[in-house]
Amino acid sequence: MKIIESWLREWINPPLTIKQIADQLTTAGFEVTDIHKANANFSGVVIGEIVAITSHPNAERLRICEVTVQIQSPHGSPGDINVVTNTKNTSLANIPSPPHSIATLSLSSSLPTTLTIVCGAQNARLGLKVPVALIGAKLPSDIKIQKTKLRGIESYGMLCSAKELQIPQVTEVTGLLELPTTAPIGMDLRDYLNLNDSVIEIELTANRGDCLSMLGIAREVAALNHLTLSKLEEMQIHLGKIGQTKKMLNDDISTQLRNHNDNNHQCNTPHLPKITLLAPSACSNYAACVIEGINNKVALPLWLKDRLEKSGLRSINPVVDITNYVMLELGQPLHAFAYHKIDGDIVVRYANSKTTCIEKTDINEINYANSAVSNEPNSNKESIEYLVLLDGKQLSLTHPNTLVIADNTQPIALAGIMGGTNTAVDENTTTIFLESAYFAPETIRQTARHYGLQTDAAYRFERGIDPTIQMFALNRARDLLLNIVGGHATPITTKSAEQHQLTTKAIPLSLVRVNRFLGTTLTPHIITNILLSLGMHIEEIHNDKYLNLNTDLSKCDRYISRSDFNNPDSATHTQLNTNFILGDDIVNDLKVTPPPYRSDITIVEDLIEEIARIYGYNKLPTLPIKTTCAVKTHKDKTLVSEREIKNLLAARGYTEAITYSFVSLSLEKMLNPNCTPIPLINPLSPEHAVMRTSLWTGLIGALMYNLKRQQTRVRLFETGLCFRHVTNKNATTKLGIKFEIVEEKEGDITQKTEQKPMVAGIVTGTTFAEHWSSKNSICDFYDIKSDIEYLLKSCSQNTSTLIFDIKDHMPPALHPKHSAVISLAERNLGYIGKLHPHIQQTLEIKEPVYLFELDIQSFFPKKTLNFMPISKFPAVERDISLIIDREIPWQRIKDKVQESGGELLRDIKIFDIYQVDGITNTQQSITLRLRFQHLSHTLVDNEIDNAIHKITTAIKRDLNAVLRG
Amino acid sequence: MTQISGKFTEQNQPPLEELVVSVIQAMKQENPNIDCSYLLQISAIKKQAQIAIAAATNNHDVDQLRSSYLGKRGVLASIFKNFAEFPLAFRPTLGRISNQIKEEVLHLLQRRTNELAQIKLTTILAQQAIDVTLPARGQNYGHLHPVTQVRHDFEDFFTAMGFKIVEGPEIEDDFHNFTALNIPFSHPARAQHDTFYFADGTLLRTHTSPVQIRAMQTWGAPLRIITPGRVYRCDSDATHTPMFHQLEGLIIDENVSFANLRWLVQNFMEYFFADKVTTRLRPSYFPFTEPSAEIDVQREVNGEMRWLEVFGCGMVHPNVLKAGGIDSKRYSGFAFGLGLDRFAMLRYGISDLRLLFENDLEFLEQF
Repeated sequence: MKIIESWLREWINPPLTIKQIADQLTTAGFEVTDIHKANANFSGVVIGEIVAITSHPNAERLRICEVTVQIQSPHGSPGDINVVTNTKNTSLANIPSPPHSIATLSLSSSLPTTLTIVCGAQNARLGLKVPVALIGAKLPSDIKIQKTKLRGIESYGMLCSAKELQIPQVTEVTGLLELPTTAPIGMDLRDYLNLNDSVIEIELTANRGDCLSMLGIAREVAALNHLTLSKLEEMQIHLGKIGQTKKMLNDDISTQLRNHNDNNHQCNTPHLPKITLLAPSACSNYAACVIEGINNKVALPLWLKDRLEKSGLRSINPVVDITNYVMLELGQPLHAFAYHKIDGDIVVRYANSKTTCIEKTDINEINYANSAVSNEPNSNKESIEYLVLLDGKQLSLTHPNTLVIADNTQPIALAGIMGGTNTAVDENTTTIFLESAYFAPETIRQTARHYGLQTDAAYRFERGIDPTIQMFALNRARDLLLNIVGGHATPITTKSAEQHQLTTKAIPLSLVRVNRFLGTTLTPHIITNILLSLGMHIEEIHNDKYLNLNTDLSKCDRYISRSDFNNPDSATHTQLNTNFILGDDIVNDLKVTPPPYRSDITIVEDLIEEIARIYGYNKLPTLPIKTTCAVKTHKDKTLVSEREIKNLLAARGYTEAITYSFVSLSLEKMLNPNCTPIPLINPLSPEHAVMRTSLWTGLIGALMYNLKRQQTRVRLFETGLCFRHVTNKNATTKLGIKFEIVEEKEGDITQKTEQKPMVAGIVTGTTFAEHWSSKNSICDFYDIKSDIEYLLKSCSQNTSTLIFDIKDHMPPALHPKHSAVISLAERNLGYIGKLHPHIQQTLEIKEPVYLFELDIQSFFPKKTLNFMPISKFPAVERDISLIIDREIPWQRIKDKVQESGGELLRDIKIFDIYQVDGITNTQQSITLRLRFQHLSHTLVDNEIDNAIHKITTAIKRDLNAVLRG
Repeated sequence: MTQISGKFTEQNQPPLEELVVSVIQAMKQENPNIDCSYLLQISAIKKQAQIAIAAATNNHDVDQLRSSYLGKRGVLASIFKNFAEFPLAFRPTLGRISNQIKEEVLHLLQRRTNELAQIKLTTILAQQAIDVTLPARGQNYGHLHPVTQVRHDFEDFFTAMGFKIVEGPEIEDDFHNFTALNIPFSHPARAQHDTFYFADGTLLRTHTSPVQIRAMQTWGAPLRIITPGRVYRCDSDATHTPMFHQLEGLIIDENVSFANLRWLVQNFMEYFFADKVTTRLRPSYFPFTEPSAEIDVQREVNGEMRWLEVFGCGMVHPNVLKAGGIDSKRYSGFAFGLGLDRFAMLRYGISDLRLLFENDLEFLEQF
């Protein structure tokens, strides 16, 4: 939100620079993101009047102007400067600000007060008041004005256009900037147009709807500086004098009469339409009046136009501009309808419910996700109403809670969001119906979101406006309108739904609790004064125990002095005063009622925040944490930490990738055709449409990205969750917390979302980085297998049971004969293998790619083990060679040898595998090196021979192996 | 090389020549006719041996010299062969001289043998020279993602302070992601969250705060946890990616105060920047904390002191404690949340957030 300095100072003017005010606001929770001058930088430009004009003898398009730039007063005092009183504040005197005086360039004494200036502008004419850049002036685009000769005539300065000064066009005229005739000659243009003004940009938090106005910010600045907001009172008094108002109750139907303005003697005086609130929970207050005989073609006063522009609002027509101005000033959005376009009376109701009042109070039950996809209107198609908005957008009002302002026949405005074209006010409008209402935040938020409309009005209603300001704001707008566009007004009528009035509730507050919560020792005096400065109403709760505390309250002043606030002794930041705490029973001392515009304050903690905020967050103490929390082990002993896994993989040359958890459906389907990935309803792009069921999808994307960037050797890994629907399975995970699994009924099948933490890797290129000393081999299955063994042996136990095996159902992404299931203690850990050549070809990857993926939760964290004694006796090695069927995997041979070898057999190694001449190619020769050892004695040949015999017998019998040599 | 006996070291060299002269003089006194001529050769022999041994270029030369000086028919043997001719009284001295010259020659021979071995070794080693500046062989070291490195760094800080690291699901339900965090259905904060939804009404968590609720429900108070992890919002530009990382922390205990929060924030910032830092708290608004604050840190940016917004925090809202099943009358707590990606960018000077998720090896291998 933009805050104009001069406007703010008109409301509240603390003796601070704008930078200081900005800092104060920032540290009070209103983050100032920018402070800038409202206008471009230039100097030496004063107001002059063209007192004579002749054509240039040597140039057709140029003319010679005589321009008065200094009034003929001996004291040099400016003339009539009352034009801008609205933008000036008499109390400005105490802040550093350039005085409103005539041109300050040192030209006045040496130059005549009338200058000869050659000018080419079409609109230069006698008596025109224009900006004059004097000699020595600096213009925004770094132009310095010097005395020049133009076609033989000397020119002592320059007459300027708005464009040259980079100030917003006040009028549509091209050429010289035409100033009002009342503009004081000689006055610095910056002062006259208020161009030294600063604009500060504030980022408001969602809870502070009350500060979306000059009034709101002024109230905060007043509280922060312990000042009274007298401007508000002045305005109230002023408006109270002129306004004749009449209040009516909603249920008082009989008194809903046509309200005539008794003072209005015109016979065709418009009557105020009857107002009916059919949706009182969505609109509980409605104030309105009619103004007739307006001239909506008048020029807006400069100050008003200026403020709207600096606030970032486009000027539309005087009526709309004035209602916008009041919105910026008081935070109440207003709407003006063209009175003659309204058919009869005004009804505030939900769309499609012309006759009945349907209150939809169970808004909360509407599921957003569903309503975003398909929104079934609650009534049949014939009754759907339409509205063409001011911006030309045609809406069919399908949302069940669309609040509209309607006349007798149709909706004429989307309540609190935007008006309709059917009752739009234009420059020819002579009579307006002016509305100032309170619309419930929820209703407006839902409607605005549903129709995708973001307007200044909706923005304010969504955040909650002051529910008591409608009358006042309408009065203010009416007053401004009557002054600017003229006309006559009916008195204001308000309709209220008494049962739906929003009131702030009293909150019991314990001073002890405040201090305990903040770690402070603030005195009751400070606390109550802060609350009072924020407009809260305080009542004491009399309690014998705490009488001594309460006695202080009676001494509290309405406004605390600055010295009290800044005196460090008034709150010593040491330990809590133990006298304040009497066990766990905290007795409430005060009952605090927030002002009506602070609907965000509902609980004690809200009050504590206000106290801390105004006292100053940065003045609060810092205290080391003391805790009763037993510091237990941080390591979950049932899980191997991802951190350990990451470090181990990095040590094996894998670089960590982080890819998006949502992937493209086509790639996901190509890799995991048997899985149905979970789709997002609202993905950002087809590339990120479904949740990954495997980390491979993202890693293949990362691999291809790097291959395209001329990388030839890629080793990447990633850890993270993979998402699948599982059916009828008790899917739980162990990330410290048991996941609550979302259940989704589809017929009789219960679907659950499983979220498994996985680790996966992808490798392509050479086994090692290119090296001068050896020919590099392209990595193969056994390289990756070694990485998996390393990983598991480093961080998991039971690795003696680690098995790589082929199963019937291997992941379709893998080469069926170059892949394995990895298991540990018969627990399935994951898969390893070569990317299926078909997929590799489809993705146009040249070199083979190897992948692995492991379920982190299936690792067995290392436990403390018992060591095995080491034999002191020598070991004996024996080699045996077998001819065996190639289909028999090594694991089976090894298991068989191990099982039959008995306890003497300590180790089995493969010495050699080769094809032998003379045997069929379905067989191969394997030489094993067996190592025997006993713990307590040296083995004798006989023992070893026995063991060998058992082994050979077993493998001959069970594996059909033939012993060689 | 064999140990050189102490008495033959350069410093303790006995005056062999003097000894010979004094013996000859003494013997001449007793018997002026005695023939001592070959004794007089001893000094010359020694010098001659020194030269010859030093000139030996291989072990064979050394062996020959050994036998020509010390052998049975060697030079020294011939000198002392007439030992018996000398008067008895001088024989011990002569014996000493004989031993001494032999030992000296032996020592010279031994030394030369060692020298030759050393020379030979040096030559062999020189032939084996390699270029140690050539690149190493073997597996390269992999690199952890910068976000992971920052995360590990933060985990170290907080675990040292007694926090437990907790993770949770990323597909969340509405209750844990919003409602329990005091963001009811119609709350404006929901609109700001740009949530990804699934057909069944579940969603991708927009922050790691749901883990706080799950932790409270699981362990109750007192509690100290941090919850690092991935979060998702449908937004994408130079400063927003649809997926990013948060780390949230939560302390719940008796008498936890805002002053404690300030203390932790200050310590944490000094840990991260490894420096004294000036921090500032700004009142802010989050539905799940009250009071809420943003933390700014004063840093020098392009020679100018600026406030950088680093994270949000606040006292846990009583509604959140209630949703987590914790008695807000007895316990209070504070929570804080920060963007790990933002901190990684700050630490490494990365300007575009999207770089973090492109997984370009040229980028990743810098860390």
